[in-house]
Amino acid sequence: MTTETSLDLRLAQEQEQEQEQPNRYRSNVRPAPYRIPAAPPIAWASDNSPRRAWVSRLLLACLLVLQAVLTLRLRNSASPTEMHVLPDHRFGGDFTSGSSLYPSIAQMMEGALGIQGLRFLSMVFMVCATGLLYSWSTRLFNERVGLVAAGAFAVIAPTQVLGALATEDALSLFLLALATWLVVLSRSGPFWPAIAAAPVALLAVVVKFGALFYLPWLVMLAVLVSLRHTATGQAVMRAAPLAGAFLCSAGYYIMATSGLTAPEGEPVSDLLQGWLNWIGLFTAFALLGVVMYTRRARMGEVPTGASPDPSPVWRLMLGVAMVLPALLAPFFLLASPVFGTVWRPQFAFGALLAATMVGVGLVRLVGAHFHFPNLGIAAAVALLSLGMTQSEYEYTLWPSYENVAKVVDTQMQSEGRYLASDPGTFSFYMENYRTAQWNATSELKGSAESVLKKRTYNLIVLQTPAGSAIDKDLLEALKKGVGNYRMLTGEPFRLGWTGGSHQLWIPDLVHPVK
Amino acid sequence: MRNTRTLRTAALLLAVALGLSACGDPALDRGGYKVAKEMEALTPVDPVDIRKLIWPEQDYLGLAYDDTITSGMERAQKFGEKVGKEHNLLKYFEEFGATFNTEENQTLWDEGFLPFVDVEPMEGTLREFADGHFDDEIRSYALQVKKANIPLAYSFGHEMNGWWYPWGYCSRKGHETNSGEEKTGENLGRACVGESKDNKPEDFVDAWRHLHDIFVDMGVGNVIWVWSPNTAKEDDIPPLKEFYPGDEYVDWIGVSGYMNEDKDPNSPIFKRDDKIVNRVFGDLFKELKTFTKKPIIVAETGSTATERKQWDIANLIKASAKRPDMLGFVWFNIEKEEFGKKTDFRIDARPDSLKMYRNIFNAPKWDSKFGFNPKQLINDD
Repeated sequence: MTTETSLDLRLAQEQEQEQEQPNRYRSNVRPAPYRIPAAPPIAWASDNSPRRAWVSRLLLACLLVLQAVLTLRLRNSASPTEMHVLPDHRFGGDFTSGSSLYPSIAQMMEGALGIQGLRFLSMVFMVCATGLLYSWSTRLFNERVGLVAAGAFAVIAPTQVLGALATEDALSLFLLALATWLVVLSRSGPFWPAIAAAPVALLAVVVKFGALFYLPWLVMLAVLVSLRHTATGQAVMRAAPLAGAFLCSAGYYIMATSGLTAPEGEPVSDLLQGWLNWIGLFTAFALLGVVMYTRRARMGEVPTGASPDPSPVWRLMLGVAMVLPALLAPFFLLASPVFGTVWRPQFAFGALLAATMVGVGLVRLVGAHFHFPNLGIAAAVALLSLGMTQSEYEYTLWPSYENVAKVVDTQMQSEGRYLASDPGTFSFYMENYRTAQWNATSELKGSAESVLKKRTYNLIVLQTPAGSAIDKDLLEALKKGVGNYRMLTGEPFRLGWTGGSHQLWIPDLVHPVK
Repeated sequence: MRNTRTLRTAALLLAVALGLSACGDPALDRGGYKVAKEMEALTPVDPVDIRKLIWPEQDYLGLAYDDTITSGMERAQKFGEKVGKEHNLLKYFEEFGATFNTEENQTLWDEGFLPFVDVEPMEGTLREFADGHFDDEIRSYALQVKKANIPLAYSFGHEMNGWWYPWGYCSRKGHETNSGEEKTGENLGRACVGESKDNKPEDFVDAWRHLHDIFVDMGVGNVIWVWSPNTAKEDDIPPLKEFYPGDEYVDWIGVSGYMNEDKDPNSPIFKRDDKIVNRVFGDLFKELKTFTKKPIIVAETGSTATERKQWDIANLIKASAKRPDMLGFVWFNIEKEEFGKKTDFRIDARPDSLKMYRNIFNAPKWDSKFGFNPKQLINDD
């Protein structure tokens, strides 16, 4: 490109000199004193630039901080589920959530960190899992998809709640995320990540049996991502270690759970309702991503320079591998029932893989050049507000035991006999707890009235609303005046958006002293 | 145009997905959020144990005043100094819906008085109370009482068997209380005319139980429940038992009745009537004994008599000290103006009645039976 026809931008002084010396040149067409560089065919580079990478990482850091803040805002005392794995727990029963690996780790660390320290570790695991999600989503698609996927996963309720619970879930989910990241990392590069993914995946199942159901999709993902860059044989080779890990972990799961009694699971209708409420919208975005990605492969504004588009079948299979676990999550919960009331956060496992397709769906919804930012904002607000509300609700579904423990502590006497719905719950926070002094209502023999009439107990601690038939009978009888007990006080607690209380009943003075 | 259509379609799909996912979500039903947050904010305290206050060794010596709690306390203290005897119970009246005054009640308790509140449900019917129309107000009050963590004698809808309060029972027979005139359509009482709520005994029972259950559910254990019938007697008033919520809902029977002057100056009991307590409360006590063994406190009394007043006071004190089921009395120590007529119930309205009161408590025999510091009683283990 030259400048002959361009505007005459030369200095006026030069023009004057030219007019003064008209015969010096044959033509008044002169080379320009500057040069315009050749323009590239497109206005921006399709490849990653360091600046784009760092800007994305900065945004990711903001999202991770947001996730940490959302998780740390949840406060309650130890849940029955957590008590089940804590070393000092005073529960009996079976351990069906995973092997004894996490309880062993908890036992080592609980003394030094306390339950809040263990919860903080869970939060770190979940934040790291989100970071890995960003990494593999970016590798499979681009930074924009990675950021949206990380943002969506960071704010949903299952992520927040699992990050705030001192249970094995967060560690298992992190290991699953690490295995996924290794699978994606190995798609075209060295072979070692594919091998490394196998023990990590196996460990995820050892920590929590429920992770087993997500491994087949990981194997499928390993085949698919490798197929894009390698031959079929090579892809199978890369997926083989993970397939082996799946078979090993399945065998381990069968062996480890053969002697255990599975806890009573939630009814299917409740599982489906919980799934719809908790990750229904999230999965809808993921399905949108699958449909849109299957229809059109291009993920950015750049027309050229990208790799050749994968086939629609490959794109559909990738979507299936990532979204189907989220769709089947309630049925996985049927096969691996969890102990305690907190089961909805388990959907985080399904949501982890589906998050990438949520990223695709929302990026497509917003459109090229941010055509419909309002849709993206609406989706983000919906996910965030639902996640915040649901997580706060879920995290208060068990009573706070700290207050009642403090009050019960004030009533303890060395010779006292005490009865409670479940002394193992609040005793965790007590200073003057002696196991021998306490009976659980479930251990009682005889009717509630016969127990009360004996006036054996110096203090009876019952939770309302009552959780068991014997507790209900005891409360009814106490209110009727059987055994002449009087309510000393009740320590209220939250149960979601409603309330309950731990009522403390003491023997009333038997005879008038006048 | 195509963009707009796409946008609308996408927004619609988004809204449908959101609506479907939110359908039936218990986390989005935030009806009880405010109360739940308030309950969560309660800090645990060493709960006050009120068992010794229910049936103490000595009797309560109470005074009832109008106006604010603090002014009542100041008047009670001043009167105590005048007669040389400290009182240990102070009753005040407040309309339902008022906030529990933690600061004034705490001062009352710290100064050696058991706070006793008569809560008057002026607005709403008893049935509405029973059906939960006023639950928010009840919860709010209960929460404040719990936070205060001091004993409180609480009476809801006192004199419910009388016809003069809006929450009372409409009796059309007999005579009007103050004027003594036969009841007609014009002076039937507030339970019958104007603000008539058509209250039935079961309405009162249901309302009481509902209120009590809310307190218990919220863990309020520092309340002495005082069920307060009146000595009212008419043929068409149902038996007292029908108004009674049950022993499991009541700690004290707080009867109220007045020792009114005899209209006939020639009557042998015009100047002195040693059976006045029995005459006023006897039938009520007998009826109560048919269905409960709960201790009795005379929750509101006074004498309108002139020369007889000093003996009314003496007889009441002696009766309280002698009866093992009687916990003491609360004297309505006010000069009250009603229907343009002033009635001076105050003990010190007459020098002779004041002197009698002072003399009785100067005698160790009576002094030792009345008045103790409730706070000290609880704290002395």
